[in-house]
Amino acid sequence: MAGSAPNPRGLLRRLAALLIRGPEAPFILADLDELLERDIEQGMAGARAHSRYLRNAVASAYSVARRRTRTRISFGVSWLDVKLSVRMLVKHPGLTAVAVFALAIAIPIGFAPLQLWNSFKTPLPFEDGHEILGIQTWGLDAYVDGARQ
Amino acid sequence: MGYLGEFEQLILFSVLKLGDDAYGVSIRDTIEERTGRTVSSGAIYTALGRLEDRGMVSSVVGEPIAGRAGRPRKYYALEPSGARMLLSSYTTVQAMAGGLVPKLTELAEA
Repeated sequence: MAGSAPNPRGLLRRLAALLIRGPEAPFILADLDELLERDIEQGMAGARAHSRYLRNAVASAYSVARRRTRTRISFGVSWLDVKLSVRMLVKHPGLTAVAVFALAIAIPIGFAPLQLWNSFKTPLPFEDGHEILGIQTWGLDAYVDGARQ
Repeated sequence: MGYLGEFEQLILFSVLKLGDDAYGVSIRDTIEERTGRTVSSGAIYTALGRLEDRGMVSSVVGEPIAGRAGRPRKYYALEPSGARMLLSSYTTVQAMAGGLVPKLTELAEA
């Protein structure tokens, strides 16, 4: 048994532990285990019991994450702040359009110097491109018998 | 003052019914048995956490149990403020629904 095929229950447990976070996570995971054990004891097919476990785990992770983002998104920004901001943007479409336009202009302007710097750093697309230091053109009229006048 | 959502009411009624045996799995079973609704374990703990923050329920961590990969259960109990709020929510709905059920049934069956 050991060391051959991967144990689906172990994999499910690990996946659930990755998905469900927060202070209540140990109790939720323990409940999921208890429900799985009970389903199997009551004669439910393994695949069906595992699928029930997975559905419960995913729904639980969603509920917990939703509560956590509601209370605190990050850096002291509350869910209410986000809600009010979105409401304001919807209420003032003109202002929203100006803000989106300003961002659309400002972001490429911000990236342009980086793009320029990047183009200097990468070699030219020729053989030994990194050795080419400059490219020049001369008019043929300036030469008489191969020598420059 | 405050407000109890429908799901919170279901949880509090389950905790009341279960008494000393109110924990995640038994609360889930009670809701499923009485309403036919399947709820996720995470949703139950999320609601219980919210109710605990508001002082409506209290919790105690029990002894580790073998069938739960050695993890303990967290038992919940209804606090007086939770009982008052639940009673108030229930009586409010009852008062509003008074005498309207036949009319509601008639409309629903139309």
